Amino acid sequence: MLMSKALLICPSDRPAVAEFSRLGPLAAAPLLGQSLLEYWLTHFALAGIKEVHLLADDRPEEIRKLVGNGGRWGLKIDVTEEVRELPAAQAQIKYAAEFDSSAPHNVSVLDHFPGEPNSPIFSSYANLYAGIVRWMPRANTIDRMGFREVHPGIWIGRHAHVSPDAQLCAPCWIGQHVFVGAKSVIGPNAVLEDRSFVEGGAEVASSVIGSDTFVGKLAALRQSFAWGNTLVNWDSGSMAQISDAFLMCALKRQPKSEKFLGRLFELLFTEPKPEVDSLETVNQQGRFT
Amino acid sequence: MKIVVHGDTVNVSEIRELGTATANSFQSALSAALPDSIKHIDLDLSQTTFVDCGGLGALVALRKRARHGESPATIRLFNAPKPLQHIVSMMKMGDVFPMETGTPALDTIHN
Repeated sequence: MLMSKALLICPSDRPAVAEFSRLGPLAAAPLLGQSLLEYWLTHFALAGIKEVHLLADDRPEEIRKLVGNGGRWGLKIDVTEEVRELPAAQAQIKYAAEFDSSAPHNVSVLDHFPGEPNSPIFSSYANLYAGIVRWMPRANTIDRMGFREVHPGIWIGRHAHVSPDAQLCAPCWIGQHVFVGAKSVIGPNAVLEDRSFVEGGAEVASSVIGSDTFVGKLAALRQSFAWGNTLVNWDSGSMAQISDAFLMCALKRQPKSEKFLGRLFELLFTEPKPEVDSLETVNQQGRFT
Repeated sequence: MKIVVHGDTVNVSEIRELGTATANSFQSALSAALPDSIKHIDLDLSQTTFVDCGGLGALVALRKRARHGESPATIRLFNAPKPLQHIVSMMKMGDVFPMETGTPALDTIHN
């Protein structure tokens, strides 16, 4: 029987990938240039589903902003805010009236790529990395534009600048508006998300460089996630903040208006924090975990 | 920071930070404590919570000084936390500063 409706549960924060959660709701964070939610919606559109009901408890406004009314996929999408992440069975009972319970797999938790239900990606950094690398050949879905496979296993996005003297080793994914300098070595199994900047001479292998992240020429990243100045070893799960901007840093700053409004809100409505909290914050920002 | 000399080995422990702010004091304290006949400089980094390029620069300077004499000394890093190991390898210094586990002081005493 053809499903016409689907229920998608956006995952809450997962402590195992806490640093990744900071980029945005897990369902909306970029993986090979697109969010997991977008891959799922494309998958549903291709499967003939017409309506999708999304349940979100973590930053639902960002989920709403991402999917809009679903017109991009030819879907009708509703987003419902929940107070916590519902287990699939409970969600199915709660929203039973909307769905044909005899239809298989019409309720999914967004913690894996479409078609890979046994490979959750938010259970550890190692699983997240493995999922991204496994998905790489399938990430250039038919509704995406601007990516081309320049050599078998090497994808490059539009407006990417890759030096002819850079060495690209398949498989690797170079996102849109990415800069790759001369004599840098990218891959194998490397992902440079959109707008990342890899200076000439840097090496990136078995690693994912997040959006708007700068990697300096002295850096050699292996088995790593790099988001701004945060460096995570996906194998050991250890995390470090890099204090030297010439090695690694974020290229995107928080918009001034948000900063200003945030500070104003804090001044007006937040009680002064005890000194101990401030010290702990400093430790979290500048020290190892 | 605690510096203990056992014969031809210097053990340095209780290093809280290896950063630009403390690089000079780290270098001068260690230089003053290094005897001429030194063969090993063992740094116990188990208590180190912060490292940056300045701290690693101090290690490189120490290594240069240690290799300058007639019998060059080796620098070994013990018990480095995983994030520090990651940073050192990211800066392509994993070969320059081999990482080891164990208690440098006891090794030295047995030697």
